This record gives sequence, C-alpha cells and structure tokens, in this order.
Amino acid sequence: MKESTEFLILDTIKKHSSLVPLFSAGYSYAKIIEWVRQLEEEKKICFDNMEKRTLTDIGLGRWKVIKKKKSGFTILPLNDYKISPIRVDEIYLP
Amino acid sequence: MLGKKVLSDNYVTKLYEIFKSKEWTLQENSDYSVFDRFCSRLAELENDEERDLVIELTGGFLWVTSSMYEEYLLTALKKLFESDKWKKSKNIYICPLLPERDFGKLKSSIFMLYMCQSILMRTYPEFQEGQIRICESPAILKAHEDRIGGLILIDDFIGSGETAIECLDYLKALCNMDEKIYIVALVAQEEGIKNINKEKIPVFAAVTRKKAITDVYPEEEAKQKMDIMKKISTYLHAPRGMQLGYADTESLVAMMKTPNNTFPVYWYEHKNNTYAPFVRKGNVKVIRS
Repeated sequence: MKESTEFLILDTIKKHSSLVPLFSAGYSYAKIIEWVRQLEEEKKICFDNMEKRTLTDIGLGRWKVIKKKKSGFTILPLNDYKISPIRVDEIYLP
Repeated sequence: MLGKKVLSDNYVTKLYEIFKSKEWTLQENSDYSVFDRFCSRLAELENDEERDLVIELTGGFLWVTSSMYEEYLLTALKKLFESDKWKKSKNIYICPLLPERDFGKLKSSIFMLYMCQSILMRTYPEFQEGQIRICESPAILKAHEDRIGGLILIDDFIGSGETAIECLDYLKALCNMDEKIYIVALVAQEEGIKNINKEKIPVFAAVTRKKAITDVYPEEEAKQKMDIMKKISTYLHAPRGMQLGYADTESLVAMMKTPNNTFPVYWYEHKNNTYAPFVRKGNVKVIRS
C-alpha cells in the first residue's frame, strides 16, 4: 500500500471514525475495505466500544510519522520548466 | 459517486465478511466489481431493515461460477450412477433439458453438453464401457428411439420445474421411453424436484435448495420477511409476479447466469436503479441467423 493511501485512510478514520467520506468521494468499496482490512491486520485500526473504527496507538503513531513527512513535502517544478533569472541589462527598453 | 447514496461501513464490513467466507472474488480485473455493485444495491434500499434482510439471506447464497460446473456435474452424475433407480445400459443418450420453444437457442443446457465429453467424465465406468451419444436437441431422439438404453436430460439449474415438465411433455408425445429418462442438474430447488417427481421422473442434482424464506423461518417470521422482500422488489420495479423470484421460487442462486427464480434484488436492474450484483440484463443477448 502506498504511504499516501495509508495516510488517507488513517486520517479519515481519525477524523470521522468512518469510511463513508471515502465512499462518498467515489473510491471503490472493494479497494477501501481491502486496504482497511490490511491496516486492521497490522493492528493500526481497531473497533471501539461503540463498534466504530478508531486508530490504535500503533495507528496513531504511524499517522503522526506520515503527517510529519507530509509537511516536509515540497512540490518542485519539472526541470524543463526551470528558467534562469534575467539580469536587468538583458531587458530591452525601446 | 457524488450525490449518490453511500453504504455505511457497517454494512460494507458485513458484506466483506460474507464474500471472504464464501471465497468470492472481491475485485475482478475490470471496472464493475460484483462487490461494488452489491454495495451500491444495498445503499439504494430504503432502510436498514431491508439491508439486514438482504445481508442475512446472502449468507445462504450459492454462486456457482463456470469453473465449478465440471465438479458439480461429476457429483450429480455420480449420484445418478450410484442410485438404485439407474438401470445400467450400453447405450446412453445425453440431451439438453429444453422445452420445444427453446430448440435451437443458446441455453445453459447446451453448454452442459460440451462438458459431457470431458476427460474427467470419461473416468466413470459408464463413460468407459458404454456408447455415449450426445444429442443437440430432444427432437433428434425420435430417430434413435429403439437404441436408447438410458436418456439423461441435463441442465445447470432447475427452479420451479416448469421447463423440465414442458420438455418431458414434448418427449412423451415424441416417443415412449418414460422409464429410461433421468434428469441431472447441477443445482435444483426442492420444489422443482417434487414437481418433476410427480411425472415419475427421477432428478439428480449436486446441490438441492430449499425456498430461502418459507422453508427456513417459522411461519410468522417468514411472513414478515416475505413482506419486506416484496417491498424491496416493488421499490426496485421488479416485473409483476417476480417479487419472490419466478413462480415464487425464493431462490438464492447465481450460476453463469442468474436464474430469474432468484430474488430480484440480486439481479434486477431498472433505469432508476444502480447496478445489481448478479445482473441478468438484456443488453447481452444471443442473436441467431
């Protein structure tokens, strides 16, 4: 499972205790439930007393790790689009 | 999916457990997963009472995919050959269980004929020692009447038994061989078997099925569940007379195609509905010359 997918699921459960926001967004039921089952087997997600999904300590720890990484992400433009700075004397003024 | 009804994760989880326990594939290599379609169908139902009923019934659902056909056919034939009703013969004829109106059409019973030539089938003594003649249509049998030692009529599913009785009526008018006829099916409803047995023809099936509500629940509970199911079928715009499956058969079966004897919630699609999980829609059709 990609780290971004893992974060999406952990984050949704942390915020909503439900998978409905993911289904509403149009993700496939089959894909989401398989990913969730994988995270449950890895003991990152469990059910609380109200039978709602919640993050375990491991899950919460993992959420924090990915969240931290995520804030350090930078989106760079592709090299092809890098433009070298123009000096003032290169600008033509008629 | 925005704007559409979405199924709660409670039901998605319940359905997931059923799929896993039955070893049904969750995701095919295509866009229209049976699981996703099933979730969409549950989502569009009117209330949780209806969803609970469908989930409960699905626990007893039988889905026989094409890869299981040979195993089921071998089991059904074994039951026939081991039965004391089977009279050994050197000339066995196998014929599709077809009513006259379906002669020449591509039906499931025709598909079954090809499997009768399989390598595994030839491991049975009857297929080793005897002369096996596979007939494309019951109409051929008249010409072979004197040579027929045993006639096996085959199909993949028997629901109410109406089709079988139509075929038997045709054969009765064609030639006299009642005592040599046996019907073999992969799956058969008990009600269908009873109806055929009234014609004094034995039926052998790999799996027999009861009516999913009437034969399973106490009377009062069955009535409540039938009312809910009828409400679901009406809501889904199922055709009249089909609310509990064709001829009120109350089947919970899908074969390569889903029989119309199965509750419509599993197969019926209407322009106002989303996808049915075990769909039998008219957009896939056989055309003939």
